[in-house]
Amino acid sequence: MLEAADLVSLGNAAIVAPAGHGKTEIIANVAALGRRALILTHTHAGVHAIRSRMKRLGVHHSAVVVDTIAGWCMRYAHAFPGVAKPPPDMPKTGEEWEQLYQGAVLALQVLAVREVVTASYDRILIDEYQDCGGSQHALAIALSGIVPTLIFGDPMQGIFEFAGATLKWDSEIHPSFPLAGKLNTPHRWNGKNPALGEWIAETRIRLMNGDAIDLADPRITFRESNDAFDMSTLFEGIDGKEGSFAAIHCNKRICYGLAKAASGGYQAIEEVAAGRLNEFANAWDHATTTNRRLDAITGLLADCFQQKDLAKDETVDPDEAEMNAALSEIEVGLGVGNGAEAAAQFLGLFRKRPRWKLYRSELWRDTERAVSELAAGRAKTMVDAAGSIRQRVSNSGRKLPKRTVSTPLLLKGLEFDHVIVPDATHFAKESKAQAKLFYVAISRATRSLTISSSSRWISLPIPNS
Amino acid sequence: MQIRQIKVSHFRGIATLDWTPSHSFCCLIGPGDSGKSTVLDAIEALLSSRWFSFTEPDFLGCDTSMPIVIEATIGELSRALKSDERFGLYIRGWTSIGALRDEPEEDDEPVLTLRLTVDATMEPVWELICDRMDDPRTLSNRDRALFGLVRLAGEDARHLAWGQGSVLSRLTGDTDEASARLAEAYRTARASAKLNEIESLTNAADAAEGFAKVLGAYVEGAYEPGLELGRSGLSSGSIALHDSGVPLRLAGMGSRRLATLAIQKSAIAEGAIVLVDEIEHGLEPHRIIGAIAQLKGDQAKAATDKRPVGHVLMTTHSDVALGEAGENSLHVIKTTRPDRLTSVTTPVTPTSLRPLLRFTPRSLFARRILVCEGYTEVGLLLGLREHWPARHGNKPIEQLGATIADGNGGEAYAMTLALAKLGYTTAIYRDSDNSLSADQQAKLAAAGIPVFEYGGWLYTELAIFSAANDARVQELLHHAREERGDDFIDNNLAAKIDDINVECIRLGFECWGLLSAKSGEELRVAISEVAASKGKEKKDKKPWFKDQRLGRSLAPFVWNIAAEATASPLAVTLAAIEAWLYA
Repeated sequence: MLEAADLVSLGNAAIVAPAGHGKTEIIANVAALGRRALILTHTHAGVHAIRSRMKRLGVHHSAVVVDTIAGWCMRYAHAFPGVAKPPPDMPKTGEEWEQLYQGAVLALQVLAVREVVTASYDRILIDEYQDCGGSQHALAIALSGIVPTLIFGDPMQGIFEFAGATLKWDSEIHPSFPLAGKLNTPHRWNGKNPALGEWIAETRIRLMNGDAIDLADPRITFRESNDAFDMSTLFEGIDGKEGSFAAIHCNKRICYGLAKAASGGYQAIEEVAAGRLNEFANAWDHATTTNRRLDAITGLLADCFQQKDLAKDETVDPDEAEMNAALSEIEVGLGVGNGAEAAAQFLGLFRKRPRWKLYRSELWRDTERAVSELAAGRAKTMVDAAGSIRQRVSNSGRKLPKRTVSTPLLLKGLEFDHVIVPDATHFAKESKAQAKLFYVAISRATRSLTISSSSRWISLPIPNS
Repeated sequence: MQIRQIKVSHFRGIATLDWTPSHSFCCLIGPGDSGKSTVLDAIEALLSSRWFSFTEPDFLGCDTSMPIVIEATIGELSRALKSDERFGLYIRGWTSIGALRDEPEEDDEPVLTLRLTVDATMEPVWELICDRMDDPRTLSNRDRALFGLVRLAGEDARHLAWGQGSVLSRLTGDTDEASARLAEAYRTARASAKLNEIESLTNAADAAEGFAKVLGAYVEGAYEPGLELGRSGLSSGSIALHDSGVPLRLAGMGSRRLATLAIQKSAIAEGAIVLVDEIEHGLEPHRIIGAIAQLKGDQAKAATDKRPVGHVLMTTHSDVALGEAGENSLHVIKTTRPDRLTSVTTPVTPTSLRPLLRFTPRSLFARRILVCEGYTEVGLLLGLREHWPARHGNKPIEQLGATIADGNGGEAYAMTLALAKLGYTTAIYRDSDNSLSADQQAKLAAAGIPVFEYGGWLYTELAIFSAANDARVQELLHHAREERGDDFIDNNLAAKIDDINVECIRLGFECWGLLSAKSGEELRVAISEVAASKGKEKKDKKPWFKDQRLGRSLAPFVWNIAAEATASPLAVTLAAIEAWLYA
């Protein structure tokens, strides 16, 4: 059993923390013991999670700094630009990010900067270490040469292999951060579903060994089905259940498809890069005519709404007809000035259409906000408006819908009362990190886990570690 | 904290100053109105957490069209200052050769640059300067408090009571307990205040007593919190330090000042910047020495323990203080007229000033220093100077800022050069019997330093006896016998002059010529050689006039001799010295 007080005396060390084993809690506790700790993680969502945990534990805000690795490097590299030579703005390409991290490492070679780090923190904790790439690892090593540094991570959750997070724990990480131990208490399932926690922990080990997994275990729910789009997998039995739901599939197109097929009963969420929003913004900014602007909007409509067909004996709803008339009127306004005001009205009307079901509400809401940003004159172009909206989301954290459908990549670090994995055989078809993706997917569940698959047994290749 | 560089422009009597202090203990001296206090005032205005209200006279020549700018770069930064939650990302680099770099590199020391600007609106603005940040960061009084400045100026009883923001209240920590008890005390009258039962107050008082004693404040009984009801009613400021029931603000000035300094300094954990105006104020010499030794000792101990050393900058007009502070801390400040460029100079070769600080440190407070080679010369001139004022409108040389210093023999040359480099007008008065090397002469000439010598291998005794007529020689012999005893003088002379005996010597100088084969001139040489103990082993040397008092006692005789033989090398040299001192 690893206690915060023991970790403090370790110096540089690594702690393996499987999902749901109280990692954030122990990070907060270690941080609270010192004068001022620096906690680094990868995403703004992670920063929010740790900050709110700190607040709940009553850790004074001056005792801990929580930042993303990228944010911290931006701050230091731009404070010492002569030696760090960071890219002038927010990095956009992989090379620019590399330049930023390497610049921060260079700054840390300067004696005076090292003194600043020593004066600022008495301990550094880095979360989600399995998501670190090589130059982030180099930064961690540089920091650990100045202030005792603890790293927390789980090789089994290292699903960013495709993005270069391929550090080998034994040969690359442990030489600098010796393994101090593994967290063993499955806090996440305490008082909820301890049996489920057990099954997930057992499955973790089987996955690491490449053993076959029996999905017909009584501790989870197994549905035999070879169709990812089998709606009964998503909806059966949900009526009696309280709490949050997530359906998890590795393919984002299938996720959008599932959301659409579910008529918005599950909402798809957006990636950090917000590709579809940017695509719309670009189309809008390049549109020179009213029609082009309308095209940009209708393209987005198709990706956000499922339109129910008219039943045989149904006629067009009078409200619907009125709505169509109103929309035609507003359309004209798209050509007036930058058209944003009309666009805002246009978008606003769709939420009210009875036969139109929204299934990408985050995308639609961001679009509405970007459009009103432009209409209010707070942004010059739609691209700028979209950028500032996404910046706001990433700074303040997003609120998830009651029922979410998304990929392990986007749901990593989150937990849901009920998790549904449609067509589990698809994990074997992923090109990388199959077992890790599966582990991340199943370990999101705290109360119930439903897995559909064409066969009862599932086997995945031994993961890299 | 230590000041690495201070720049002042357009502030009071200073048009510009750019000073890079290289010592952690700086003793600032300089003639009156040279800018000593203004430099301390500038540092205080920049680094103190107090608000300063500026008025027209604070601007050079009362001209508000040019802003006052005071800028300092501070090193030996505390952890709090270096933290990135404060100013860590604003640090600049101080290179190993003492230059400033906006962004630190390699092994540069992290430093921070602060700037205070006051323009015609009289509104002071404190900022942190860092070229690589887009906007300068303004500094609040809380920010400035982190720089750990302590100033001991004149009278300041503030620090001897537990008032708001006072050092004592910081030493005490939380004063809620005290204020609650105070409210009670107010009701039940002074007698029942029982401040001595409040542990935090007595602890702070004990601590204050300890600090004050270490610096040399006299403590009659013991420091304790005492209640003083003022007109403004009761507040934490009504609790003051008492020494055996007597408020400390009524103690002697020296004790009060030392206690104030000790208490303030102790409240700053990491290397305070201590500014002291005239440390000698109210202190006897031994306590000046004690206080300075303690301040220096604290720094030395901090350095040994690898703790922050801090910076002490003090001004003084006390030769005792200067002597104790030592040659390494000597900083001479000067402000040119009329352009008022202020500079601070330190000795290039401090060791050559060591004898000066040991024997005549007071000369450093003068503008014009005549360095004499030995005691005889110093004494002789000190005696002669009493005769000079009558010929110069009754002005003594001191009134013109001139002084006579002891060069401690062979060290006079190096000392004089070092003084010249510090900006003093200097000259040397020396014997001619062992001459300066050509190189030494050239260096003195290059520095424009006159050398007063008798010429012709004359040393002082010989110059005097050679110029004296028989009667004056006899007078001098008589004087010597009175000072050193008949036998000592006569036996010495008899041993030297082989053809006359002691009886003859006792007859009087005018008779010697009758019995000796030597000429009057040869006899004078012989007497001089005996008087100066020429040609003797060091351990056997017993010169007649080689101390300041004896040298000085020669002055009345020499005055007369020179007056009677105005063309003699003695008279010519003394006249030149007099003219130089009165120049």
